[in-house]
Amino acid sequence: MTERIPASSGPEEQLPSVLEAGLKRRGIELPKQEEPQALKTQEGNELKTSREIAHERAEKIAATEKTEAETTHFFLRRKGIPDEPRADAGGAPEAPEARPSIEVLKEQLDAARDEFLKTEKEYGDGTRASDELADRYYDARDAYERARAEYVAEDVLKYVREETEILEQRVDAGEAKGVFEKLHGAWGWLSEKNMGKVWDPESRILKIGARMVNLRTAISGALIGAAWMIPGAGVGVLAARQALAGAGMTFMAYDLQRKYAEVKAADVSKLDKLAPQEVAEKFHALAALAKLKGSWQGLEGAREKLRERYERDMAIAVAWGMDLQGYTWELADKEQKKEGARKWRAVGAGVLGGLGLAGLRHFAFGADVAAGVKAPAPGLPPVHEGMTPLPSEDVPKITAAISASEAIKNATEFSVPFQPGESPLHEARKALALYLSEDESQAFRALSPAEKLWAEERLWKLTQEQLKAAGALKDVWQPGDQIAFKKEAVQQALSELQQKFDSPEKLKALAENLRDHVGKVDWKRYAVAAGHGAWEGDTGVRFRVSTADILREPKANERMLDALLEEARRYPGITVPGEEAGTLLGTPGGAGTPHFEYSFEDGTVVSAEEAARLELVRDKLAEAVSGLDAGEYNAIRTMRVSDILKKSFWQLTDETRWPEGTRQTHVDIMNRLHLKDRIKAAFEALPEQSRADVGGLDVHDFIRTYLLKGGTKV
Amino acid sequence: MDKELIRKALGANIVEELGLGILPEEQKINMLAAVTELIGVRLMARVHEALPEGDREAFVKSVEGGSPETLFPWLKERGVDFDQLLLEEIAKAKEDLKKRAQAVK
Repeated sequence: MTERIPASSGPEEQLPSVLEAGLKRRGIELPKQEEPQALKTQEGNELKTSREIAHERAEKIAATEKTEAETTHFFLRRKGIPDEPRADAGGAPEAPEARPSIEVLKEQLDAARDEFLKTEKEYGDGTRASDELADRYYDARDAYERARAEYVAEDVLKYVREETEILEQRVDAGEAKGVFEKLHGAWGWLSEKNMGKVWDPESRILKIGARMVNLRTAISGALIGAAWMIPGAGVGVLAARQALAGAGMTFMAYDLQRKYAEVKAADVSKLDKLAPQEVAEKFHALAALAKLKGSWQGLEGAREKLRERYERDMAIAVAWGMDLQGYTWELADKEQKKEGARKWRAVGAGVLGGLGLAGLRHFAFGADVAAGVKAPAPGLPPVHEGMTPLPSEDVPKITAAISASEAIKNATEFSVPFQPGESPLHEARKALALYLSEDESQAFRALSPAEKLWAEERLWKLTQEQLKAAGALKDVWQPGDQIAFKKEAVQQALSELQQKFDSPEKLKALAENLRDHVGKVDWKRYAVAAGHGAWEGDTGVRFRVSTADILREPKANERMLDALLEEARRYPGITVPGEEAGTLLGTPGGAGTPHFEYSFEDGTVVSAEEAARLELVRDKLAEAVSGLDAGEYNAIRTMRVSDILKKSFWQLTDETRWPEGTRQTHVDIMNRLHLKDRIKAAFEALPEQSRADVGGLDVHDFIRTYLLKGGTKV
Repeated sequence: MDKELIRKALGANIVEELGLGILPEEQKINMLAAVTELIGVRLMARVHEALPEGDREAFVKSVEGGSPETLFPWLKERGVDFDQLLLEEIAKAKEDLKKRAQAVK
């Protein structure tokens, strides 16, 4: 039996009061809409189904919008927040712009679609189109895509209004009047509570991350695919994977609204004056902005500065058992003075700053750190009012960390075991990193990556000679083998470096010479904190491929990178390193350069160059760079290039119709068209005499050959 | 917890799924904020409905003056799986919006 509920009456009939109130509290204003008098007629107490209510609401809304389209059409307006300063407007706040009604948007969409259809017919497969026609075609396509997006966005708001109305009536019909208002109030209260105290993941660092998450943030994040913010045991795997990368993936729609202008400006000039919590919020808001923009372009500088400060704050907060809300630099400074510089350094004030969250995890929770240490630490930081005290089980970890730092400081040599995929140079790099982490002279703390590369190579040469003289030099090093690097050799290499590159010009030349090599090192892996290298937490060297390495096309966007990462995760036998550690390399939380990595868990280790040539990798890369999902790609992968160039959006004939059997949404087809554009651009760049042959290739081979670097002519 | 539900709720970027990437950031943010509000209120209603009738009033009162520390265990004791409801509401909103957008050519 269909449930029938009484329609509500009175003031709650007005559009959408509760939603409006909620949004207003957050600085978003829904402009008042006066319903036409005729629509205010009461329906009385007759019972109606949800469908009927929805239908009526839709009609009302449509009528209202139509009536008021010119002046008060429903739109969201930010309130009390200065609009984003515009370069051409001298930074003056703009008056909120009235948006056209949904009917007007529909008309615009229809017109844009008609124009696109007309132009597409003229354009054909594009191979014989004039420049002028090509311009018109792409302009028409863009205009259509924009018009559709405008319409869909407005339709989303319409949906929100309708659904809110339905919900309100349903709730109040079944309960005493006003319950909906109370529930909405409940939402307002709960949505802004920090979830850290109620979400109880196993990892302490996840708890710290969770302390910055409220429910509203979590839902907004989920809407844009930032999964980790959802509190719940069932999402543990996703949460574990993404939470630590969350430094770069978090999203706060609400905070972003409040801080939009500030974030947009990416102003980090006053970073030193910000409290840790403010830095975290700013960082997350910036990341959210990038996510919405679909790119970090123009925000990289601010990102790196914020990330560095954020990770340093997190490191210290973790080390001292505080959360970011309770932690301030002043407090930390007092602790430093009380406890002395040595111990402070041991918990990683400067060192952890460059380590990144994977390293923090290792530092704070690494099993090797906790193992075998029983005695409580002498002189551990006292618990202050407002601080979350360290759990007793963390005390031995701090003790061990201090001991490990001491061990490095007093060492006469550094013995570092080989991990899969490593060469002696990797071990030299580790030895150098360990030495520098406890170098009290501070003389080499600011070594550039190029200088480090030179020094590690020199260190290995020196050590190689020593091993040869001792008859201990091997041709092949296996995982588990160790090389002992003498402290004197490290110091000698550094000393030679200093002498050889004693001017800015020479240093500049060195940086230039080693530029390509510097970019291929994952420097975060060689960070040292509390006597431990970040490498201890991984399974060895992976190869690393940047998007620039993979694609022939000059522009590789973040979305493409995400696709690559997803593809890598799905690939049997290949894992994306960092999953276990919770880092998502290639994202803003990871290294600066977009990249992704593969590792072969079965022990097969290959160089980056070798890996990029592997058939299985290239196959997967071809699929990933297509920008299509697996089903979509499979539908076109065997299609001839000459045929795909004839496909169109409107699919009016067999020749222009895309393969069937897959989804055919607007977004899918636009993605296909974008791939077609890329194929066409690469095709047209070929010498004319070879186009006929290349046109016979299938899409997959074409991508492998002409869109990926290093492709072999087929 | 149902993995498919998790995937549906958390797996996709609705901005991309709806083809809205071309819009200005502010417009996207406002849209997300509105949908977030809807999901939140729906969630509260679902929790309310899931409670035994005798506890509903207490729920409304507890969220007005209580704390999450006590609220979540309280809900759990009464068999309300908050996480599940949260994921369901997010998934539902995403699915509804995708369907609407797919109808727009």
